[in-house]
Amino acid sequence: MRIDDAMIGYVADLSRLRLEEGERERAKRDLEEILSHMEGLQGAKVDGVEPMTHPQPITNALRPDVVEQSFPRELLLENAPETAEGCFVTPKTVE
Amino acid sequence: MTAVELGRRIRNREISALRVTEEAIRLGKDGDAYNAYLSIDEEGAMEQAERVEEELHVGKILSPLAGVPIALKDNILIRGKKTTCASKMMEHFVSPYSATVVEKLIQAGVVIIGKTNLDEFAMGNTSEYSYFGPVKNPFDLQRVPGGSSGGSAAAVAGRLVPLALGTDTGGSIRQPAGFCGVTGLKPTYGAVSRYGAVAHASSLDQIGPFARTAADCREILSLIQGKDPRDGTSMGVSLKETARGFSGKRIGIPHAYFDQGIDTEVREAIFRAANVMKEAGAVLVDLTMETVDYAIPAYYIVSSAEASSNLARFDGIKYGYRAEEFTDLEDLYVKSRSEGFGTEVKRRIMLGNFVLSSGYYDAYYKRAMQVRTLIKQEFDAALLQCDAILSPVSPVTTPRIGDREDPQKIRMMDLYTVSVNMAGLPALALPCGQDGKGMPIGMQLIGKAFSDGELLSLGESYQELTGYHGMQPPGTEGNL
Repeated sequence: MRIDDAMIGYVADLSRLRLEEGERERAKRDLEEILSHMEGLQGAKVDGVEPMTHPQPITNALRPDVVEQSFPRELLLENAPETAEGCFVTPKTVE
Repeated sequence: MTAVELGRRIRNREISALRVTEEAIRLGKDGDAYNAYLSIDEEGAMEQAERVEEELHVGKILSPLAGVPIALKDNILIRGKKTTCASKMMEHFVSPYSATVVEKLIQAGVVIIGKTNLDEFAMGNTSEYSYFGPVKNPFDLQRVPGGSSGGSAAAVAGRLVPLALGTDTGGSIRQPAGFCGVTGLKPTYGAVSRYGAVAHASSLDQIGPFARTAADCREILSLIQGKDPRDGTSMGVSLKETARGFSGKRIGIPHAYFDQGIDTEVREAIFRAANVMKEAGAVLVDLTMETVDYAIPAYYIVSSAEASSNLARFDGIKYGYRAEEFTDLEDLYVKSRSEGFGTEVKRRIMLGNFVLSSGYYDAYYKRAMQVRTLIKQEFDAALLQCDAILSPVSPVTTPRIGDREDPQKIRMMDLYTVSVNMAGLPALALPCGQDGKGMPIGMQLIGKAFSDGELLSLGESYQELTGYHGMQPPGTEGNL
């Protein structure tokens, strides 16, 4: 399948990535190339076959309903680029 | 020396755990010609070795591997230590907690020496896509060690350390084990807790060991396996040893795997291994396994879809790289991700988002999940006819660093490994020969889900009959 500027722009947007000029051409070629090799799947006989999301038949893995100690807030904030008063800091999102 | 033997000598007070640890640290610092390590934890390792010595002094034995050094792939968390995933995104990340496998290793007295290099976020199969430079194959420094757990494989092959852990999403333990001439196990999905391993593709990822022998892999797996309330998919695995030898064992040979695109030397090495088993009493069973034709496309679609979702968490807010300049929240996300991720990671995120996007979901992602069902059914049926399936690890032997003009050729190096993850099965990679250039050739034995113990018994039996696991890269004599 052919990947045009609009399509690579759409996929980059979904991915929250910005491609520079040179990168965009490369990304178009790469995505086209890999998708051409994914075409092989179209020959598989999958009518009526259930899709499989997970290899083991595990459903609803529950643990006992016991209160446990959670991580200290300070510890989890240590890797954040910017914090204030025990919170993550982001740019302003409301006018 | 094997890890089991080293552990025995430490227990018998023939060698001190401190001496062994010092030597492993020295080798990691001065002897790492392979760029295998990303960090060495000298302080933590020496503390642990001292603890082991003290316990031994009062007659307490923590485990058969107490005092034995190990290296961990740098996508496994150790509390208070850096975990980089070989990415600019995680360059300064300090782990707030330890992975379950790390807690188990520490409890057992195993000494963690440091963290090993990998393809960024474990995406790749040559260990060239590391932000910190490529890993080199100890058998030939011009060649790749395989990937993505290339640093762990190179560290064990180069005798820097007798044991290492890696993660395997589509062959990332087995393929570098094969290329580096060491033994590597991808356990059954659910055998080992994934808590504290940075997620690549959650329905495929599994932590597993690298060692010199299958017997060493058994010891380390017995320490790290088990059900863990912090990983709802973990179930643990029984490691009962089965009778040694191949007498009466049924070994399946999927002939479609040997039809095309495979090096003659690889094919011959696998047939030689099959013959060793046959002469030892095994029955070789011809298998028809045709889903191999769909393995690579189905794997790339499923793994990239899951990766695109897992890596959405990197937003420049909670942890990881944040761009210096941005105009608003959206711009902060986009710039941080665009500057923080490398080329291959971006490629996979975009492929994943494409196959999950409206209009393409059914044709790609849903179809790949249906093919996954077909792959699992085919393996389940094949494993009713035999005790294990024998296949090459990779159709080729190790390429040169930088030799990746044809991306499809590079993807095809994983042709025989990816289906095992899709089906959630265990598979053991073992050295079984060398090519004309002296580079190792690996074979893999694939078993039924939760038959890891039986698989290891077969591996141990093979290694009792052959000496390929003893091959050692030049210049590593006298190392650990």
